[in-house]
Amino acid sequence: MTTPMLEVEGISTIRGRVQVLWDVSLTVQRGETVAIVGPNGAGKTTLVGSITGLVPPKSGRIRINGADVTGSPPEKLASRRVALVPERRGIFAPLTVRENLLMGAYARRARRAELDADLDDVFGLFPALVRYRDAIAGSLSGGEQQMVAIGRALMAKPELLLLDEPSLGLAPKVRAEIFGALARLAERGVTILLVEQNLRLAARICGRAYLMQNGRIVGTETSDELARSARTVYLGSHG
Amino acid sequence: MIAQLWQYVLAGVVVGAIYALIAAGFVLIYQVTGLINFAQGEFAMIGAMTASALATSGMPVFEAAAIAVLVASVTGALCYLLAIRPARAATGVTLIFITLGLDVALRGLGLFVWGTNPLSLPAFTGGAAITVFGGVLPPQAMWVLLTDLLVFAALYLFFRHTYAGTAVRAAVANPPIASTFGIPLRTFAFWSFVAAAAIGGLGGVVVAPITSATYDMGLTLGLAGFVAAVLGGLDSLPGALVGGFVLGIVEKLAGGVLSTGWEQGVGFLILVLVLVLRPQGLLGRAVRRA
Repeated sequence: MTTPMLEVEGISTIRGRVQVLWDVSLTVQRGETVAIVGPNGAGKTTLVGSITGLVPPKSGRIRINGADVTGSPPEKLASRRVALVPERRGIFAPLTVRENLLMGAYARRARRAELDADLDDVFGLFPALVRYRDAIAGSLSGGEQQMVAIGRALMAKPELLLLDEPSLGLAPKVRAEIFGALARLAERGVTILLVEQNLRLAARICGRAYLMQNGRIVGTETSDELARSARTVYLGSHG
Repeated sequence: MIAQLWQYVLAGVVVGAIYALIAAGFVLIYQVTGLINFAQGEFAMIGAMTASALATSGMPVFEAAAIAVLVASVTGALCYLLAIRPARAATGVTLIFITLGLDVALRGLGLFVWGTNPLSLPAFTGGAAITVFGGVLPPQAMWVLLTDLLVFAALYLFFRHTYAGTAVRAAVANPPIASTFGIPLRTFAFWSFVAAAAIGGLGGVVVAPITSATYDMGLTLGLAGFVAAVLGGLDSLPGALVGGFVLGIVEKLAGGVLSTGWEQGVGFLILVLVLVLRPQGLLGRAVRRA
C-alpha cells in the first residue's frame, strides 16, 4: 500500500480562545482530488491553516508523504511541495502578476530558464493573464486575481495543492474557467484538496468529499453522492 | 536676503540627506517587521564615533569608515538577535519599549567606550568649498549627497530588480501567505536590522566630518530621522528621501529666518501636523486596519 499524500489524524485546533476543530481526521491519496465541504463556520479554513502550519493544531498528527509535519512553520512546508491557494486569494497586491507567479517558486530555488518555462506553462493554463503579465496584481478583477493565486501555487510545482474556496465571489463564467483549469491539473496527477461550499463545482472535479460541520468531519460522500446533494441540498443548512 | 535663504536651503539639503539615510533605516525595519526602531539614530552614532576614534588613532579615513559601517551592522544584528527576536511574540507596544531601551543602552555604551568629548573625523577629501548658484557647501557635502544617491539607488535596484528584493516586497504585502511559499520572514527581519544599521552607520560616518561625533548625537539624529520617515510615509523608501530633504530644508530655514531655537522645534511641529492631516505621510499608502 502506498503512503498517502496527506494524512490528518485526530487534530484539534484552537483559534484565539475558541476550539474550532475537534478530532478531525482525513486522508488524501497521491493523485486524488478530494473536497472538504461544509457550511460557513464549519472550520474548513482552519483545517487548511492547520495543514499548512498557519494555525498549528494543539493535538493530533499531520503527515505529508509519510513525514510528520505537525506544527511545522509554513516556510518549512513549502519545501515539501505543498502549495496553498488561500481564501480570498491572498495575492501580493503591490507586485506585478509576473512577480506574484515567481514568488510561488521561491522555495524551489530554480534556475531562470526553468522559471521562464514554468511561467509559460501557467500563462498557457490561464491565457487571460498573458496581457496582464506586467500589471499590478491588485488592480485585476477577482477572477483574474484567483487565476494569479492558482498560477502562483502551481509555480511551486506542488505535489499537494490546497485550495480554499476558489469559487468565492466569482462570476459563473470565471468559475467555470477556473474549475476547468483545476480539472486539467487533476488529470495531470496533481493531488488536490479543495475546500468548497459549491457542491456542484466540487462534484465536477473531486472523486470524493468529506463533509464538515461545527469543526468535525460528519461524513464522506462520493462525487456522485455529492452531485445528488448539490441538486437537493442548500449547503447553508446542510449537515 | 534671497542669497541668505538659498544658503539655508543648501545647508538644509545636506542635513536632509543625513535625515533621509536615518529615515530609510526606520522604513526598512518598519516595512519588514512592522516595528518602529527608536534605536535607529544610535547606529549613526556608532558609525560616527567608531570612524572618528579609528581615524584619530591614525587609520586612513576610508578604512576607518568601512570598519565603522561594519561595526554598526554587527550592532544592528546583535540588537535583533538579542533583544527583538526573543521578544517577537510580544505586542507592538512592548517591542517599541524594547527599542527605546536599546536606544538608551547603545547611548550608554557610546558614553562608556568613547566618553563625553566630541571626536572629529577628517573630511574624506580636501579642497575648497563648493559654490552652487552663489551658495557655499563644504566639500564633505558632496560625499553626503553621493552616499544618499548610492544608498537609495542600491535600495531601488534591490527591491525592484532582484528576486530577493521582490520576495521582501511579497513578505511585506502578505506575510502569512508569503511564508507558505517558503519566504523566510525571520531571516528578512534580521537582514532588515543589519541593512538599517549599516545605512545608519554610513550616515553617521559621512556626517561626522561636518558636525563632529559625540556619544549623544544619535538621539537628535534618530528623532529627526523618525520625523522624516513619518513625513515621507513609514512604508515608503522614496518617502524617506523626500521626508529627509523637506525636514532638513524646513529646519534650516526656520532656524535661519526665525531663530536657531526653532530649528529642532519645527520638526516636531511637522510631526504633529502630518499625524493630524495626513497620517500616511507624503508618499505612504493609507492603510485601513480591520
